[in-house]
Amino acid sequence: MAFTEPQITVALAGNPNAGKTTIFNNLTGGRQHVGNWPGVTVEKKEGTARYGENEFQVADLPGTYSLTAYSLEEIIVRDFVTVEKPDLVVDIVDASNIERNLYLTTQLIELGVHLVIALNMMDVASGRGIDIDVALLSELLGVPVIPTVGLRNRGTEELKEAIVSTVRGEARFRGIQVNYGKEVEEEISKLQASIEQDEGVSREFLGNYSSRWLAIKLLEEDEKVEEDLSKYSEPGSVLFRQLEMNRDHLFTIFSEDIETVIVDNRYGFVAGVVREAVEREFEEPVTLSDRIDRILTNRILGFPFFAIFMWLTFFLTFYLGKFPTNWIDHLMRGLGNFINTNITSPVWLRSLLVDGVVGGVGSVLVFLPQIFIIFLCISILEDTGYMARAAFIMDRIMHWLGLHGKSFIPLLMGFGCNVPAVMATRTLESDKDRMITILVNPLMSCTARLPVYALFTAAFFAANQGTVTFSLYLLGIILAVVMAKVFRRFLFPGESEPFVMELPPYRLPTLRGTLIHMWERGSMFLRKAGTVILAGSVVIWILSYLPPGVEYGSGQSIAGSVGHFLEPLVRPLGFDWRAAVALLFGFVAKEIVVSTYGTLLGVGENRTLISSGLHKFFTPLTAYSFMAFTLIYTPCLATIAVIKKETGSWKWTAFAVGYSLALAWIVAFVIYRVGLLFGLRG
Amino acid sequence: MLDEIMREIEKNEGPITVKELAGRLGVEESALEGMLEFLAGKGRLSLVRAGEWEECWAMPCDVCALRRCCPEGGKEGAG
Repeated sequence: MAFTEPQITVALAGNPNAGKTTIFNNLTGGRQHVGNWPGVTVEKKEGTARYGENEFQVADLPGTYSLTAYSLEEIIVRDFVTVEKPDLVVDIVDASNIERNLYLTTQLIELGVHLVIALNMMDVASGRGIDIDVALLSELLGVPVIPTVGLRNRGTEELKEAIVSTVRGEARFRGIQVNYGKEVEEEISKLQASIEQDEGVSREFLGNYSSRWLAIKLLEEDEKVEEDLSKYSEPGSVLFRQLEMNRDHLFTIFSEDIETVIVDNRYGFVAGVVREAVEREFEEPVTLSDRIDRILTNRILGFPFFAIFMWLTFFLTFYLGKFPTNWIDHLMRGLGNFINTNITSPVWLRSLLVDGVVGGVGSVLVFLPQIFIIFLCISILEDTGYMARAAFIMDRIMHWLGLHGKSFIPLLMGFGCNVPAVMATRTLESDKDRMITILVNPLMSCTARLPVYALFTAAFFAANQGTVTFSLYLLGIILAVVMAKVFRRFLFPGESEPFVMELPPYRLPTLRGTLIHMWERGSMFLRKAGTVILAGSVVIWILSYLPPGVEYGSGQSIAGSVGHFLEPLVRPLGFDWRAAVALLFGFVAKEIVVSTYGTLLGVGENRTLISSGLHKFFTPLTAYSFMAFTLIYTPCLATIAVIKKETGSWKWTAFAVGYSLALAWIVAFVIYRVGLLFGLRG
Repeated sequence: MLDEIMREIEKNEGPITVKELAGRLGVEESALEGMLEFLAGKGRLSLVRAGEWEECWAMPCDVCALRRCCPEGGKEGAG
């Protein structure tokens, strides 16, 4: 006998990636059209399906994990099911992730719609050793459950049959109610009564929604339901007074928001169903990533491995970087000689080009290979998935500091550049955590400091360049840790939440991907050399050349006067006026510290001459103290601008500059004085 | 269920992976993810998903100065 009604409507709901579209295609074949849901750009697919003489209209709803009103997709699904009122909803459940998928199922059941479950991906579930008692699952949920394998078009006819028989009332459909416990159920009943007695609400809503569903949603503080209901029932009405009493009462009992209590009960119900109807024949397989993680994220071994990887990064940076650095050095020297030989007059122009441009920009550019190598190493660490592990390992320290585990992500980014790192703190939900992370971020040694380290370590610690640089990075981390603890204790007291991470599997990085990442970051440095550093070098050349008649770069030049004015501030640290000038201009960008020396010394970019020049003003002790000062003192101009933008406060921006200057001075002073105490030459 | 998760996390005294937590609780990993997302939404814990590492550190594209996943600036990233 043919179905008595001319056409029935069916909606397909389910979690994202549950195989909904495949089932939709299996049901409708080519008879489908694609459009948008009214007023939004979410794709809407509709089609027709046939079973015997029965034809039904099928709508593919957006994938969603629940029916709360948090996302557009959830609202579309909820509105379609309640307002459009399809004759039946097919809930596509991924059998291989059944526990998660059944959460949506409980909410669909709660809505009181006619429901059929398509238990999809049964083959995948079976392959993972998941054995589902389909009959028992159907019994527990009170709805028909049809096993399907969408990709192989298995179970489609059975599903169509279940759709037709459920709509006809032939299939078993009793629905169930999630029991929320005595206290909550009592409040639901009271609220249901108020909803039913409210004339406006009952008239407008009870045709589409059950009073129980509305009551649960109101208790869950579902903003959309509350807003809709308030259009027909005044906020001071019996219904809303009752709602307030219900919420207060439940809060007194549970001491937490009622949504959590309700969600907890739903998960509890799902867990109970799964425990009854699902058996796992074998344990989750231990993957290669799991095996590696047992070592690299181990509580004891994790830190040494992290330190080894970091040290290796700096070792490779300097060991491999010295060859191309020498080539660029020769190239720049050749360029300086060419200008000296071919441009005879005027003298100032030759000096500008050789001492200012080539000396300034060139002295920074020679470190370009090292910048690229460090970015290459960071890209490899990221692309293999190790950086996620680094954050995981460091979380223990972060948590001890009272800082959010997530804070380590922007801090890690700070090794590249502090500007995007400060911006990345937007991912932190807590304002206090965010502020602390912003304030300590500039202590993470960005690559702009690398040319400074490279220049000074080559001049004073040639045999241990990598190790000394590593110690500076470590110093930055330790200071960030200490300052975070201080800020948490005195400025932003509070507790941070526990941290749970989903670690990506380890992957072999592709050469192309790694090189692209390296280039994207390294080219930023190249652009900076052609803009900020070039401009800074020209300014320093002018200040070193003027007033006319003085010896270039001498104490009588404007730069020298400025340096002498500032010298008393840095003299206790073992620095002279040239260091004061370099640090002053390094405020714009840290690389300018190097170009300042390149320009001030008036020896072009010749690294050997710069190095021997530095030996006149520094000892290994003061060189290390100077590098530490450069690491810590005021963030560069771009970082300061972004701190102002992100904090929205001049006060905190000034604090970020002020505290880092004070800290840099104290640390450099301690290094210098302790070194002297140990008999090192100052 | 949610309280049980919080107890297990706090008992751990340090970071924990979703996989490890699922193993300890005897819960399906994907179901646990749903619960963790809910708890994270309530501010009771902090959750970092695998995709956040793989894509672009979860930054909106207009914020991302590195533009790792969209060098041309035209494609959408995780944000």
